[in-house]
Amino acid sequence: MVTKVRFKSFLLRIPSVVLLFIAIGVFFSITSPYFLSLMNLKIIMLQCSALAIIAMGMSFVMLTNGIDLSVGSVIALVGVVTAIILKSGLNIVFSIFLGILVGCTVGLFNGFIISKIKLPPFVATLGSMGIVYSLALIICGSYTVHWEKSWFNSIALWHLLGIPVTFWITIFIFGVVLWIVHRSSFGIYIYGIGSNEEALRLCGVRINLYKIRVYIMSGFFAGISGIILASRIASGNPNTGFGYEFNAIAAAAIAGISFFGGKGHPGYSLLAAITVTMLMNGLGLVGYSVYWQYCAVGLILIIGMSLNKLSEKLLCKK
Amino acid sequence: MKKTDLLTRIGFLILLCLIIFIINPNFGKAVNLINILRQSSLLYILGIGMTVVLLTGGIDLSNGAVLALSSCVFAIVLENGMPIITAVIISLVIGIACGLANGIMVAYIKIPAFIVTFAMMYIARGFAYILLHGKIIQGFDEKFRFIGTGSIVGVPIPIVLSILLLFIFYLILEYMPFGLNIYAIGSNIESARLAGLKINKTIVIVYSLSGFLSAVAGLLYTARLNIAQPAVGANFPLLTITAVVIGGASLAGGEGSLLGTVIGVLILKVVMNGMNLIGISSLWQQLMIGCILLIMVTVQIYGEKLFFKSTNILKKSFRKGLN
Repeated sequence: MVTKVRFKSFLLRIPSVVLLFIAIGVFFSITSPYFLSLMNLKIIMLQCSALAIIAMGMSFVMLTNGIDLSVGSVIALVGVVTAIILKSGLNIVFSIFLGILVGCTVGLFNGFIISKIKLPPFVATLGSMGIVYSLALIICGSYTVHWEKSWFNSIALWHLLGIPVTFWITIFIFGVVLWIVHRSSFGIYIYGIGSNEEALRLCGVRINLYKIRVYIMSGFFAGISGIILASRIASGNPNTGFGYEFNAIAAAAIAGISFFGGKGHPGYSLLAAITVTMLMNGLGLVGYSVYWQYCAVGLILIIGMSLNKLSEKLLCKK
Repeated sequence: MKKTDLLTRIGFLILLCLIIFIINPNFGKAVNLINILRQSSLLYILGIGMTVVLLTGGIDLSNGAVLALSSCVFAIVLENGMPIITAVIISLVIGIACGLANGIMVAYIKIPAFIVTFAMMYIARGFAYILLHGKIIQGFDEKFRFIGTGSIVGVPIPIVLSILLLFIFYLILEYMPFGLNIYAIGSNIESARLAGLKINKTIVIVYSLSGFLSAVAGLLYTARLNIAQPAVGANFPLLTITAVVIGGASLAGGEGSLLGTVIGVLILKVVMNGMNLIGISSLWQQLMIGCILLIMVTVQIYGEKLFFKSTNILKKSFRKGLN
């Protein structure tokens, strides 16, 4: 009897992503003969990488009761900066490093204005989103930047053991995320800030430091995604990343991350990103146009959130 | 408190106008000023909807998509040979329906407004594309286009329409119980509930209003630009939110006013127009707007603290003076 109750509450604590992932996976495996083909799986892995990394970064920010709307623009800026450095012929590793550094700097700026100047995260990152996007446009003069062919272009094309390198990067970041959540004090403080910031402050924890670090992390992840996307399109386009922040927030929301902080596991955001990508890919295979795919993503969001709310309610009753 | 906020913003707007006028006197020409007002008419209408939604502590990311959907629905209905009036009514109904769906999900299923309106944004825009098969439709009836291009007594109709709507909703927000309910829900939803206010109904109506206004804006857009395209308005939600927040609204709800929104929209449009006149490249526009947003909100947060500090200093010196 007790084990039955415990099993039920364990089931209810799993976010709806898992159910959606299984349902969508099974559905398309049945309805399309190509869905499970190796080529298609590789395409899914390629397409979900950037979104998954950003979604995981966004999850941490959301855990602290914040939000980061600037990640889309950071992708654009990082792409443009990396492109310009590559064009000038500097070392490729150096350019990647600088690109990611740009992402971290934007994160530092966000963290600073949110923690020290105490601007609300939505407004603060809304402002920085515009500023960063403008910077990207100004730096490249609103032209797409190309560079001489180098091995940078093939980062997106490489495969290791049959799995795209970009997905290996995603898996590595997933591992880092797991370590942060389960094994580091940083993770515990992040959950604490989201659950009860005042209590932590009274305990003497330097809240501002952790907030700044979490936004730097989000910027860092955005930087990595920016590099991945720049490699995939083999150019620095200031208009990449438009709308990515919303997709990331949506993925984090289905993954069970609460908007008010303190609840949810960022690891599920990877699953959410894969699920959304699977949905769009599958619908494309079955013959639905991109426009139907948009509608489907919207529907999945609502279904996913409703299921999460339902399981919350059922859990409370116990 | 509210008054000093608004005064600061009006002062900032006047300062902006002065600076631009000094650098380029063409700014002050009647043609230019009317142009600014006419171009901002869409933002005013969308801004009313967003203000009302933000006041309840929510958000509406779908206004651009509903705008696109209603204008595409209008175009498709016209293509099927229906009279203009029917097409207008149908597209307004579609707008209200989208808003209604948003409101029901936020109020009754209690999904966060961000997610609901984001999903609606995808769904509405998807439908807009599907309806038009990915194409755009141009060329509309002269009688309909009059709404967007015509004038009454020398004032362009879009401006008349936005002033009318602003006035009506100002009255509703400030003087009718429904408006006071909205402020109450945004300020403290628990005490509103304990006071017996019909929270769920109010929230549903608020989102339906936003959808309705987005549809009105969609019709205005089609009338003015003579085009119906599903891609329009992708940046409208964030632009509207920027305008409303610059105007003093708080994202947590309960704070904000239509007058503030009007000033916020004006500040945005004056900056954009001014930058064109001064000759600053449009690439810098987003940067300026972002900086203004950050500065405004910072001033708002610290302005309160400064206000209280200065009144405390005044009180103390007054008491010392008495003694």
